[in-house]
Amino acid sequence: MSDDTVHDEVESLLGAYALDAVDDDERALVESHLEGCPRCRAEVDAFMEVAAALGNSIDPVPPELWARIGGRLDLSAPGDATLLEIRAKARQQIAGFAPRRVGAGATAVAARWQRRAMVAAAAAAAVALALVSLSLSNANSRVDQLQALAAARGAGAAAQAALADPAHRLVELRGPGGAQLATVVVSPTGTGYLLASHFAPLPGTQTYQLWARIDSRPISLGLLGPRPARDAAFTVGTAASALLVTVEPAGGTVRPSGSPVAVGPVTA
Amino acid sequence: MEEEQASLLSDAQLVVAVGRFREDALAEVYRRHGGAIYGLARRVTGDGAEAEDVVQEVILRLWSRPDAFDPSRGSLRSFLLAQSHGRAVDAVRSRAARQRREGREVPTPSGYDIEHQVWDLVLADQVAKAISSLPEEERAPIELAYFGGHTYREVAVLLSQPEGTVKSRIRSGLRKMRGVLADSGVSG
Repeated sequence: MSDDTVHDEVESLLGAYALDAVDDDERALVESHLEGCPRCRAEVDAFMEVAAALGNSIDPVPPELWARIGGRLDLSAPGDATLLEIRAKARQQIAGFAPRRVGAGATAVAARWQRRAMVAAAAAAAVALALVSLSLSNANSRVDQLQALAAARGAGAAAQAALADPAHRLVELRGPGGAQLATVVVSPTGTGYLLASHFAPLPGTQTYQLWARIDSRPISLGLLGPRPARDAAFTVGTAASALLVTVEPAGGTVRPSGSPVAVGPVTA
Repeated sequence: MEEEQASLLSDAQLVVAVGRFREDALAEVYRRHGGAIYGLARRVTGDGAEAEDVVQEVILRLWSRPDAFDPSRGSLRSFLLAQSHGRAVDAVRSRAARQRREGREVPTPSGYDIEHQVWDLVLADQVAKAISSLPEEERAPIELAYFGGHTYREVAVLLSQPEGTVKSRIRSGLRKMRGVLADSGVSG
């Protein structure tokens, strides 16, 4: 087939393709064509959005399912059912499935959705379906954006507020030799902030990774980077018995690859 | 560097956080979109247990391959729903080979943000209008393919119509829906 013939053939399949209503051969044909044809790709993307709108629903999230999923995140988890169950419960606690209190968080969410709706209305007049990516259009400099946002909010203020709350907990992370390497304040709601950090800088190929020990299993709280910054924030949850820091390859790992370089008990 | 609470992050930021092994971010993705993923999979498979498997696969895939989501091509909800649909259709097509348990408990409602509900209701309303604005000969093949998990060839047999006709009606129907949705300022 000539390129034009392929294009016409694929074009006629785009609707069915977006609905997963083609057979495997046709799917392969469409997908190889899409790589080199921005026009067909744009049409498929638009159809996929329509399909997603069609398939969008207001079903509530299945409440028990997260426990199953959480239990499979760490592929090395032993097959011991009780342990998995305990860990799953801990994960559920981190996820915070209790109905959200109406407060600052909820307001921000509402504002975001309202903003999204308003932008959507404005964009519709301009370019059909260009609006679908509106809440994501600035995702390119993702990490930078996170950091800028943090800076704008005044890093440290939240940590100070956590310290001011009498129900906060302080966690001192110490190295194997007993040297104090970091102090973390954990707010009553389970958000942690790095107050002081004396970790040695790592080369760019490595990162510090923070873990919570929950029922003797490490759960990743996120990456601290090669030079952990004061006021870094993370979600500790309320079930952690200790915080651990390991050195990992840049990009992080699913589970600790070596012994922790610092450990601190979380006490009530 | 300060990391925000997962509940305050945008969808795109959540995916970045997932890429940095933040499990709270994955949990937030699940909280925001798990219901929709489940709803679609359940509608296509007609089976709660199968739908739960689909949700699990979709969420675990995001955990292991967050880079597969390309924000320039659409929203996270659309991406997850496309994954959900593809897997649900696979499940339907290979059902003969699968043994399914019956009588799964129907999930009870949980904390699903009221703001999302409002948005979803607006969306559902617009989508209902869009699909009902289509002539029957375009609406039927789209619904049979999308919700029935049928290929367009199977739809052609079901409707006793030529394959080429079904193919082009699906496409023209989707184009019209796209126009209606864009005009109403709503999309996936």
